[in-house]
Amino acid sequence: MAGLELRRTGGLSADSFFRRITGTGLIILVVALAGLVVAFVGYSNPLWTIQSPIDFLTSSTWSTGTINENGEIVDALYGALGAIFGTVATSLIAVLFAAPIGILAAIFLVEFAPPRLAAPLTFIVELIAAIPSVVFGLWAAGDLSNRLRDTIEWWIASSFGRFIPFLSEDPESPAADSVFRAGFLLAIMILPMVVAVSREFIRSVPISLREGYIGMGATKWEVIRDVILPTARIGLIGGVLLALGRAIGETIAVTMVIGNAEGVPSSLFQPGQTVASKIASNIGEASGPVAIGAMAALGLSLFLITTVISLVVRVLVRRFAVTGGRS
Amino acid sequence: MAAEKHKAENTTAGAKDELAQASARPAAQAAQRASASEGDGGRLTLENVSARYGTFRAVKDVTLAVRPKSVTALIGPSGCGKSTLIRTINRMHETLPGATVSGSIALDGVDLYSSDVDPVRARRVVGMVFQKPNPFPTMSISENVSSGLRLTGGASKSEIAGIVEDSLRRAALWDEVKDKLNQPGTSLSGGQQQRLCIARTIAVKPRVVLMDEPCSALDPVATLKIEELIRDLAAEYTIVIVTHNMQQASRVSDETAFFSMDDDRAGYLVETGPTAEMFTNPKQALTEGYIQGRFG
Repeated sequence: MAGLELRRTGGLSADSFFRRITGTGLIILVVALAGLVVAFVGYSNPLWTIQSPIDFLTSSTWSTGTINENGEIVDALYGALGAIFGTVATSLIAVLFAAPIGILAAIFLVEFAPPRLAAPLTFIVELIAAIPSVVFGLWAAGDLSNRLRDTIEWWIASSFGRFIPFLSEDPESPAADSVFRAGFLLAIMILPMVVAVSREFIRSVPISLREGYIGMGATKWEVIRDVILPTARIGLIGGVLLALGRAIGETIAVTMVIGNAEGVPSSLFQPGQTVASKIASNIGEASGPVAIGAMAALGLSLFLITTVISLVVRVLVRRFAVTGGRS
Repeated sequence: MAAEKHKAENTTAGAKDELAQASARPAAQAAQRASASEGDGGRLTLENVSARYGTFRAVKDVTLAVRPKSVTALIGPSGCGKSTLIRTINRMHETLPGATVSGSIALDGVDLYSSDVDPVRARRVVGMVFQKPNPFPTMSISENVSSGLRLTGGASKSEIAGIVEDSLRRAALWDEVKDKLNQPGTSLSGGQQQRLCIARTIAVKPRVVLMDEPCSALDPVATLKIEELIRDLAAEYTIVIVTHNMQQASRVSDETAFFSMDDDRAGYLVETGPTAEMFTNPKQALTEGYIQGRFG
């Protein structure tokens, strides 16, 4: 036994060193998030001296007010309802189109595309993801917007516009910009993300499960419906949520096509604005602590929207996971 | 011993004749042991079956007759194509990209590879239990068992419930799961999961049950349970089992087919015969060597 040296050596072991390094990364993240929230609450404070957060969330009037003879701002009201409506509407439209199309495309890539085709198709999807937003915005503002107006938008408006609120359009003079077109553009922009994430999760469904069901006498479609999609569902929901986050925050492309109109539009086929596009188009003119405070409040409301959606989805996912997704 | 070995080597030349006899031999025994329900069928006849992955031939010219309602074990060293062969019987092999099969496999006189056979329907009469237990994680225990029935359709809810219970009883799992039929199949232990997969396979009343090393992921106690189950099921189903474990082959099977690998790495059938005979008095030196643990 002599010569067998097993005592601890002094100093920091590699494990605890590594734990500290990784822990530091997380601490930086948490501190950054806390700092951001604290700063925004601070910036927005001057706004709450002239109006309540309830007014901010429920009013659709955005007025910087006038300056009276004493040099005070009067009649100012900052209501973000129109922008919040626009953000929720555009991102839901985006997900409504991008989620099914993206998941179907991912199914095709994994389950049906021959390997020779799958690789270039995947590359194309990644290419779309790499296109800068401003390029999408230019495309939409230049050409896509009119095409959408004359095709999908016109079809929806003429088919459902009479029965469903928010879907009507005056066929004589359709608006030059619309919330719907911004949402559709967002759908195209988030599609690569939905495809990429869905593809990974569909691919990760073990072959043993696929073969198990094929062995039971299932067709390929039945395998996809009963085994692959249910098994991958949490990942698919996660991918869509991630894409939704991108849609909610997307700024420049939306600003270029949504029309930047105040208030809650009477129809999705009318111009509107989103929280992000409102910040982008108003920040240049914002002067004075109250106006800056209003911008910060918009930022906080954007944060609030993503938090609420994340929590709702989280609850839904947990429900799904418990019941097993069936029954 | 040396003389015996010499003799065995001599007979290698007549391997073809052996094979021809091998398929005739079990017939006599089958008559002896014939169960009352022989009429339900389950006779498999493999003729010159070859299986390829792309250009690589993994299984070469296997001709083998599988007696109905018996257990046939496929044994042999790793890579000799026994798993590939078993996957040709339920047309699972061809689901892999580039995988092809030639030759013919007849089930009760119907060629499973005939152009008018739907592989999806073929898989409902030739069930399969896999190496790793693979209950569907999003389905409950009872949904796992009824999954095949729901695919076929036509059964009422009460019929399905009856078949689920019956199948779980036959798989010797009912008493352990009857109070938690709605829990996920993946909540069970490995051995229970594998019995669940067996229950799920027999729920659709196949004629043949293929088992691809069904115990290789299980502990000895769970293995023993599955082996007992295999013996019970042989009264009703034709069972073909791939196993690495020679003791297992000798414990559960009526017939044993020994496979080996050629110089071109293609698996071929060395010999087949009643299990007792194969393990005590194999005709081929190669079989003897493998069974005595000299290679493999």
